[in-house]
Amino acid sequence: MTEQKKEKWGIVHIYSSYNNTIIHATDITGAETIARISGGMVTRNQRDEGSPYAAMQAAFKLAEVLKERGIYNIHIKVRAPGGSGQKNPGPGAQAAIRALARSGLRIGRIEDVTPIPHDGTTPKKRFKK
Amino acid sequence: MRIAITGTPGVGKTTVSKVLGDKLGIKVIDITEFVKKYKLYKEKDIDMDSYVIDFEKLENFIKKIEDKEKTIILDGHVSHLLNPDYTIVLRCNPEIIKKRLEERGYKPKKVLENVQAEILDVCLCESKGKVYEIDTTNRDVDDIVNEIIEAIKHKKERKGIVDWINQYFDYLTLEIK
Ligand SMILES: Nc1ncnc2c1ncn2[C@@H]1O[C@H](COP(=O)(O)OP(=O)(O)O)[C@@H](O)[C@H]1O
Ligand SMILES: [Mg+2]
Repeated sequence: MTEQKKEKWGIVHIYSSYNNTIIHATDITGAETIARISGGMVTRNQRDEGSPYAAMQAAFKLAEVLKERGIYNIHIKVRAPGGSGQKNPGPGAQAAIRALARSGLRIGRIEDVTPIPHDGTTPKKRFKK
Repeated sequence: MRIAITGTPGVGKTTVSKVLGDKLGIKVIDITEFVKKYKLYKEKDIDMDSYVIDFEKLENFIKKIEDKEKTIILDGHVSHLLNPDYTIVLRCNPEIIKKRLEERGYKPKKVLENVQAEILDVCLCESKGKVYEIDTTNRDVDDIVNEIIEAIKHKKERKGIVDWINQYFDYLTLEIK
């Protein structure tokens, strides 16, 4: 591995809903898509698309694509309701993060950017950039 | 008993709650309105153009109402966080919510964050205990209310009826700034 390869960074966005998880890798600017894998692409049973197992499989698959592209360093942006703000984390997202860490990628920042429903009132302040 | 009517802003909570409260003869608390009126907040988040709810003050406020009322309906996007006995989660097509919030005059980033919250099932995922989810898209208010009354009567439970993450993925990739 050359020095240049080691320094190539990407962003992995994890989107987790009640029924599904989508893992989306982009370049460091967030503009160019490198790969996008959903829970539905790694499981045959529709009921399992949002399961931690499907999220883990999707994350491993995505990690392989990143490594093939010479990206060994990632920042993670998580959008997973019930995540770090709440007691129990979005099950798909947590499994995906663990899988990414185990796949040999180096993880920089992990940011929680889960959208917060708000009208004229909000349960909490938004993540700061 | 606390019945929570929750869901993303613009989904139709206040519209539905009013009709439901009238039909059942139950008092409805519009949380957004009460938090502002009785200053049940910690501060104003300028960036979000929203008051940050003080949950301790809000809880005390609700308890006082419960001294007089046996059953109450809590109408608000945080109502599911207030230890309800039963939670109705209203859902609506994200693009309809977008249109409604734009009509309300919200800034683009506030509209987008709420649309993303709807696509990612935020209120549903945060709801605990007995939960019944209803997709209100293109449905008549009375029709929705009748379904809610049936659900409450039989303590029905249902979760995971919509799946918008693939169809509306492009909204999720837009950055809130
Ligand atoms: N079932 C429905 N069909 C058509 N329009 C609706 C319905 N429910 C709500 N609306 C409209 O949508 C807008 C937002 O409704 P509102 O009850 O204020 O939402 P919320 O309290 O969830 O923010 C209002 O203009 C209302 O008239
Ligand atoms: Mg309302």
